[in-house]
Amino acid sequence: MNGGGAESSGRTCGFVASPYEATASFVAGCAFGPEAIATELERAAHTDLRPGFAQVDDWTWVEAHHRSVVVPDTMRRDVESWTRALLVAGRLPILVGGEHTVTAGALAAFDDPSSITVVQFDAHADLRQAYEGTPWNHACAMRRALDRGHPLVQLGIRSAVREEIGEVYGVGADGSSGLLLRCGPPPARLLTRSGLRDRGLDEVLDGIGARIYVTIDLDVLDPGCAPGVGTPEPDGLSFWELLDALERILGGRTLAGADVVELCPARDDGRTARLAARLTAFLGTA
Amino acid sequence: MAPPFLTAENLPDATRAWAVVVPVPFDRCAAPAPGARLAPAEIVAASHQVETHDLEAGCDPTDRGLFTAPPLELDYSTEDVALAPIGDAVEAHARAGRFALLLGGEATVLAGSARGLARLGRGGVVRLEGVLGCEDVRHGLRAVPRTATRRASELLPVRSSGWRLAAEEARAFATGKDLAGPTARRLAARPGVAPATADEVVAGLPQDVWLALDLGVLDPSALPMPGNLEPGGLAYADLTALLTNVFASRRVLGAELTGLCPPTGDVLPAFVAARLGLRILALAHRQRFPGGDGRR
Repeated sequence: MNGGGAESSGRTCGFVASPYEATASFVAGCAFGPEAIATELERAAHTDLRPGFAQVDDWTWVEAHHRSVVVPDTMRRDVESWTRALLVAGRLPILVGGEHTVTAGALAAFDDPSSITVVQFDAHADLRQAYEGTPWNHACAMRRALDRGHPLVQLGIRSAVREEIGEVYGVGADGSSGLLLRCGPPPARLLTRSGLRDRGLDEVLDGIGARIYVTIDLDVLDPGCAPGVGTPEPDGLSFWELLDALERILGGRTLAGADVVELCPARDDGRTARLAARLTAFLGTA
Repeated sequence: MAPPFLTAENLPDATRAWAVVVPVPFDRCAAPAPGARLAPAEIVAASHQVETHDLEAGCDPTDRGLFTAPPLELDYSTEDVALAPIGDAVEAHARAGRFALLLGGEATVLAGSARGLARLGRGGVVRLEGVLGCEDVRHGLRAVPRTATRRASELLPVRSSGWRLAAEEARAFATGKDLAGPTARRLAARPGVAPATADEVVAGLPQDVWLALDLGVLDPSALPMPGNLEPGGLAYADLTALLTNVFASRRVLGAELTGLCPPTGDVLPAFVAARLGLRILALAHRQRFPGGDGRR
């Protein structure tokens, strides 16, 4: 395994599938994401080994709930329950969505939120207090993480509305410098896509604690390499940019949990599912 | 009433707006197929999925209010009649001091915009396009996408950049008239190669310019749609960096966004167009209201 923190290496992981989709606002279909990733994981693992990627030693998946579940309380309860079970068993929980709202279920399994920094890779800030009448919209996912008290580091962001940025980072914050900071509590940092390209990670690394939860919304990637998402945004990261950033962040830190969300097979030609599978395996062996 | 661009709330008319969005469903001779007339509506629909605070420009151009005009009604009976409403709209909004963003429609829109700009008696054109539009006549027509840049250059200063395809005739004309700016290859950032600067893109143009952006300037990986197959176009980040630098070096009177040709079979092309529309409006907003809180 390259890049995984020394403290976290050697743990076995457990996969939790949450095919939850209740608030997709553009192209629907992320409920079929876990199935596509699981299929691709097994296919890729049994055909070709990829240099630099460790093999997952246990492909057992649990489905946290049925695809027909669209009640956020039910989804959160079930995802939290399965995540807790993995933590109790000493396994690294890897959640696969579904829409980004599922992150809230996994985070609820951690009883010490202030000690776990959420590191978000995403095109969208997802900081809205509520959207389309619910606080459990995928556009609110990171606001809910802040509500729990998790320090937050946002990377690759290139889409937001003024209200959410102002509410979290202060009135008048605009992002044009590429970096936004909030003292907290809980503290938060946002590095825009341009900021990541021009400034690099250095200014956010010291905001990332020793224990981290990584959440990857696949739309952080460029639509050219990951077209299969429900809310595509131009000018995303390349696969290698994302891997480089992950390796740097994971170095010397403990991965407490992770998720890969928002795969939309309806817009995919197979490459996004393969990429998501590689990311899932990468995180699962970190 | 047609839905407005970016926002749910349209101003009642253009008089209170700092910027006006004008759908121009011009569709007479676009390649690879007809359909450009549907593009303005597709872009407007996609724009409702765009979050309107532009993080990199640092502002929300909807804060001061936008007005989206009804689509222009176009009559193709003659070239002059077809292009007249476009020129009239450009001239009227520029005289009123409003930033106009035209949503095409095929690239021929520039031949109409140029007429209005010429009547203003000032301004030049920053043209960004994938195919150098400097042929004289095509399919027996003088105003088509492949000739639009040349038609504009007959009325006012033009500089065309970002192209990666050109007919020999077009290249000869552009070179002879000194309107050929850097090609896509020279504008693309890549390791070990310093890209051409915005100075080269605006060289020779007056302080006031019109931005004529044809979406074919983008690489197929950034804008995957039928007809945009030629490799070597600009990356989205290259284009937006260029736009930022153009706004930094010139006063931009208005802009047009052309070349989307539905049905594309996917949501992404129209969304990319809508996102670029947001970026253009945000840069214009920042230029007109530097440091100002834009809230109404």
